[in-house]
Amino acid sequence: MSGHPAIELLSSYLDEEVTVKQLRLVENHLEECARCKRTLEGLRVVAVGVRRLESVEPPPTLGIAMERRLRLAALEDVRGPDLEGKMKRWLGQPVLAPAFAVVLALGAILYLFSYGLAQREEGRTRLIVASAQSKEGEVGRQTGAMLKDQSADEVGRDGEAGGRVVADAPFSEPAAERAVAADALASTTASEETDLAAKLEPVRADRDGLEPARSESRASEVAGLVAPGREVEAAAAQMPSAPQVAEERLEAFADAVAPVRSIADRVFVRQNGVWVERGLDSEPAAELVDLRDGSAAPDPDLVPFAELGRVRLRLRERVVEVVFPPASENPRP
Amino acid sequence: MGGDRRRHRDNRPMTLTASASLRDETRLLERHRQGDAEAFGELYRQFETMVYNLALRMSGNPADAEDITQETFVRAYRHLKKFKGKSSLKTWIYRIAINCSNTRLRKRGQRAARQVDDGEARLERESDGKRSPEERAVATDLSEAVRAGLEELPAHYREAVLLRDFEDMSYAEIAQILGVRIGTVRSRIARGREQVRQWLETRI
Repeated sequence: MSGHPAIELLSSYLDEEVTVKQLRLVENHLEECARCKRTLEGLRVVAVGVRRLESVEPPPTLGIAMERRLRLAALEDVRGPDLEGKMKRWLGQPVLAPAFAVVLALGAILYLFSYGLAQREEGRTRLIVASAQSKEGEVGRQTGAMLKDQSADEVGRDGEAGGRVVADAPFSEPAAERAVAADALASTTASEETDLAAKLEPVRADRDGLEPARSESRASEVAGLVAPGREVEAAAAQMPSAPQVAEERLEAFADAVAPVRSIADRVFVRQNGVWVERGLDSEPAAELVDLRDGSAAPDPDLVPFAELGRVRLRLRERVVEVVFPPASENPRP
Repeated sequence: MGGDRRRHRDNRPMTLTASASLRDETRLLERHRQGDAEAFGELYRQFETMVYNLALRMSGNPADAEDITQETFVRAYRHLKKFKGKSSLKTWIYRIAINCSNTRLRKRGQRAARQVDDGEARLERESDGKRSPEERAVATDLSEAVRAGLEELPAHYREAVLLRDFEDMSYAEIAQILGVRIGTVRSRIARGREQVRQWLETRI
């Protein structure tokens, strides 16, 4: 034999599980090799040690437990296992346990995915609102510029700087809608989201019922009357982003339902049934004009504020427009 | 060499016990198939100790050994009517016990639990009364060391060594129980013994 016999051959030799040829080879090698003799002796010690392990009597309780288990097994054979038993048996299967884990993981992923989709859908809804606001805001900016010019004509004063045109723009047509959307942005609960839809619906219906023709005519007016001058460009460059606008609308909306309003950085206080700009004399600061027919709005003290719907607030040197939410959502200040 | 192997642990000649047990098994199975409730009880009493000891050596833990024994017999009870007699009943039950042990070890992470069995220690102390003090010291030290070494083995080596040296089975029987070829059995036994030998060398 060249080299030492493999450990498998030595172990098999110990067990007499070798052929006659292998037996002779190993015995011849062992006569010359002390190392393999020591290894074989070590293997023999292990085998003897295992053989000398004492047989242990099972505990008496095992028989009792066994009898109970067998009775249960017999019952299950007749009736079938109960749900717990079935679950244990299924989960005990080497293939089914990982499969069950995979199904659970997939379920969790699907749940998270669908939750994410729902969130995304809500975000998309908001985006659509913001997009609509953005588009309308564009018209609003132009309208604001136009109104500024109108205001200047009517009041006979110059309008404020281009920056003030920017301040006007947020008060263009979808102001309350933005305010409601901003309100929704600030809210987190599902019920509030539902409320948002309810709030938006009448406002949109109102706008849609009133606005198409006017929007078109106004757009043509803007196209015809307002050239994209330097002032408008500067205003557009400084135009706040949609979230900023929404934030401002939120504040404006909050103020709108309170006796003190802050509109375009100016604070108006209700005094003796009229709105007076704070810090100035008691001369009424604004005149409410119902845009539906262009006539002067009824006294806001007598008519619930929300019933005014879309109004044009004519301030001293400019005109802005505000859409107020429906009566149910807008307590009278 | 290998003389001990020819006699079973209870000192009965293997050839006689094999033929007798084969006849007993056939009768037992027939009774069980005919609905004799006592038949399985006899089967349980016949293999209980054997299965419990194998489970104890495999798991190293009396509580696990009890569970494995129960599970083994419940499975045997459920499937006994389907037993076709291609192997001996003993081989078949060993196979179930090994499967149950491996399932338990897989759940626990392969290694046998290092836990001294009080009952086992007591029985070993009682049986030591039949030996001389020198024999007792050698046997206790060696058995304890080997037992600890066995617990270090991977389960597939441990089961092969136990079936060979503790249960005194032939390579062919072990191959049948484990469902592997004889060459694999030879290799597992050799490597298991060699690992324990090396483990003992570093500690004794």
